Amino acid sequence: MKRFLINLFGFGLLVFILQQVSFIFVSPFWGSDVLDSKYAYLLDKDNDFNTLFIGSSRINRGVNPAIIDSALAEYGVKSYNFGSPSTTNPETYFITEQILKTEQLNLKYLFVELTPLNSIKVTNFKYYQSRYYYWLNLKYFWFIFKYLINSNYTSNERFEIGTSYFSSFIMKNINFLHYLKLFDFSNKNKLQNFFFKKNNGFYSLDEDFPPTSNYAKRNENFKSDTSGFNRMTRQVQKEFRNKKDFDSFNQYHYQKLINLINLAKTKNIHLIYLLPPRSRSYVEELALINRIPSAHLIEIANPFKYPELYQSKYAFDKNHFNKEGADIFTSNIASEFKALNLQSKGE
Amino acid sequence: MNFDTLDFGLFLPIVFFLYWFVFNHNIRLQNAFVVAASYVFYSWWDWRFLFLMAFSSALDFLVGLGLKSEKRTNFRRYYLWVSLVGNLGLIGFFKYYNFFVQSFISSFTALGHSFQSESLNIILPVGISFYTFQTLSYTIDVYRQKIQPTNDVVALFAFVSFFPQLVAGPIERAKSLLPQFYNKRILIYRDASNGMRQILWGLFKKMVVADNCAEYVNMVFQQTEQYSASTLLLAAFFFLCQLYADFSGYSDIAIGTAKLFGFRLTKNFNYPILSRSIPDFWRRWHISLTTWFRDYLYIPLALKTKDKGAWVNILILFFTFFLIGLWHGANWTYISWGVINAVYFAAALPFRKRKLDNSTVGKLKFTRPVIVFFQIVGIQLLLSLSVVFFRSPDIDSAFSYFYSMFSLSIIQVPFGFPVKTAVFTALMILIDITGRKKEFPFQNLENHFPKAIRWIIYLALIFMTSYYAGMRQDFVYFQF
Repeated sequence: MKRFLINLFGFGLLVFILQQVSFIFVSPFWGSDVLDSKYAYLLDKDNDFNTLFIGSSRINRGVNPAIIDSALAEYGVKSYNFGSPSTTNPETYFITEQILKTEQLNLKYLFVELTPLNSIKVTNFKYYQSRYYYWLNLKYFWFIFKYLINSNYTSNERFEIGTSYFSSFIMKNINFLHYLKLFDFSNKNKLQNFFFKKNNGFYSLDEDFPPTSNYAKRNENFKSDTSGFNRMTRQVQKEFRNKKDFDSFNQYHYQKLINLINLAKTKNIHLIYLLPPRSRSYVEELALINRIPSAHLIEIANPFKYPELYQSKYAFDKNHFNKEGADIFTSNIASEFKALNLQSKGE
Repeated sequence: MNFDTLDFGLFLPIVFFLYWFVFNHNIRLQNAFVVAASYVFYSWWDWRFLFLMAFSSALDFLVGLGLKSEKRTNFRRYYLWVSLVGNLGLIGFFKYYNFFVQSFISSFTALGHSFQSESLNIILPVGISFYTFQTLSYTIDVYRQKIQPTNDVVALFAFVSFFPQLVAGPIERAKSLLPQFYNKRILIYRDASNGMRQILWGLFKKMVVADNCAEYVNMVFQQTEQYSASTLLLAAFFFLCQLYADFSGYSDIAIGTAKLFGFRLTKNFNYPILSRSIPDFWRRWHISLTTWFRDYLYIPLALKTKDKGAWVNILILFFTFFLIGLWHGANWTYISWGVINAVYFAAALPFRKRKLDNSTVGKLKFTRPVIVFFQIVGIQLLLSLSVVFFRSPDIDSAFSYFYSMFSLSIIQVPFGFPVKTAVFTALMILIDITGRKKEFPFQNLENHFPKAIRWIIYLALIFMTSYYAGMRQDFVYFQF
């Protein structure tokens, strides 16, 4: 028994070490085909872009770099949409760090979406998938641990979310099946070809997929029943109306945001957190945005200030814009960016 | 819980640890833990079906006790019937009810009588065909006084539900597995190492060979009319390979897992890919099922009718294969597959001269290897044709597949030849040929290679399994 267990442990250790070594040689975004392909494109065109947008599908499907570039031509902005589906805090912060570490990129501005912690549950199928934990290194595992301790979640929720991240962390480090993603070039090549065709990383939901796809069905369902969308809008209105009540913020989350701003400064990059509309809840962000230095924040989520962004005619589904909505949203970002710069100059 | 999932990857080490380090002081406690672990394993699919398995186990335990105390032949027979009706009743209801009702209605509709069709929405409990046959073997062997009935209810429950082989076999005989629950188990280094190797080899076969074959096979079988005859033939061959890699892969994982717990299970496949005749194939394929039918159906019937001539014997053969087909599923496609194999088998009987074994393959002089090669290829071709029935959703589809396969487009280059799949299938066959004298090709590797080489082999298998795995499919035999 002893000999068997020693051999098993030894072999397991060897596999673990090989796995860790292999992480060094692959792209930091090996688990996400979309990000990996976009990253490869950026490295290929390293001096073409000086502005990146990082975030979830709301950024990926909502920010049109062509509009940004034209509206902000006077600032010499040449932007790229680095958004990716299902990308939330803390993955967005991992991506931001990796981008900041990439010396090859010559960035001036970095927009990062502000979201609450991704509260995946242990029963959720996602914890199996490398897409959802490729970024989960020890540093971020520790960040999540501290985040949960300092959060407003119930004990039960903390346990569930913590267990989920813990199993994901273990999976990342022991799952041999990673090699499938680590060296899967065929799918990435396909995606790279896709992104290379349109060279700013943006595809709105309605131009991306053929009418027969599931996305089109989602759009049809949304059009036939907007009650969920209206409920969400009312909830967001309620939260913004009572935003003064939300004062409790997560200090570890806040500290992370400030650390990233400082890290970006050392690279002469202006990091701006972006709060987009149509989130399910803004409770956590509303407490944070009052504390983030104003030069590093653009908030376009307020339904009273941006009522058009909560109109169903600009929506593809409950949480995403259609092409028209994306263009309006992007124009708002450009306007706010100009205001931010004027304010900075005034200061 | 499937063997090729993370769930099982976590379940196995936890159960292993508790089994050897917490419950190892008392055999009954250890057996009770096996039952608990097996029930958890099974409940991963649907906990409600645990009651069926528990009912089946309890029924046969009580029947066993009844047979022990009963000496009168007639009463003993009644006890046997109680078990047969109880177990076959369960399987008949859950697996065959709709099939028989629909077949009955179709037959009478064809004769001009119409009936209202009332099929029930019944979910098939995973592995019911396997554990029912296993528990039946206990009762039949007790009835025949080949084994002593057990007084240990925990051991019997553990025998029926033992998780490594619960849902897809090998179908163990009480004579071989039950006594292992009476004795203290010890973990022998060689067995445990072989167990791990066998698990790894099984995973490779399932995830790399079977799942990749499945991708090509599914593509072709979904739209058969679009493909040339050569493509259809190739897909049929790849389905045979998928079936073998999938099911023997499962058996390897099951046998390997059992070794980690100090148990020895029956060998279920003996390199059927090297079969040189149809009877030879059936001695090598799904051995635990074919021997079950041989011992509990074919031989008793043949003995009862031994004076009635060769034709009766052939009829019994057909009946046995009919039931083997039906065992696989409530569909005429499986029955047709069974019957075709009966035709093959019966046709081969006059040519049976001597028993062929693995050692003769590749060790014969001059022209013999060529003959052996053509024998093997011929048999695989025949089997590939037969599995078209196994894979097709219904009889009409199977016939339309054959109709398209026997055409001039057989000389065309097959569409989308899956190079990766072909390479790994060939690799599996090559490894099978080299390791054919062993229980599985990587058995006792320490006798041939130093540790460094062995670890490189394991790493290569792990790498191939993770990198080249096909899209995940359920084990084919889970549906049975």
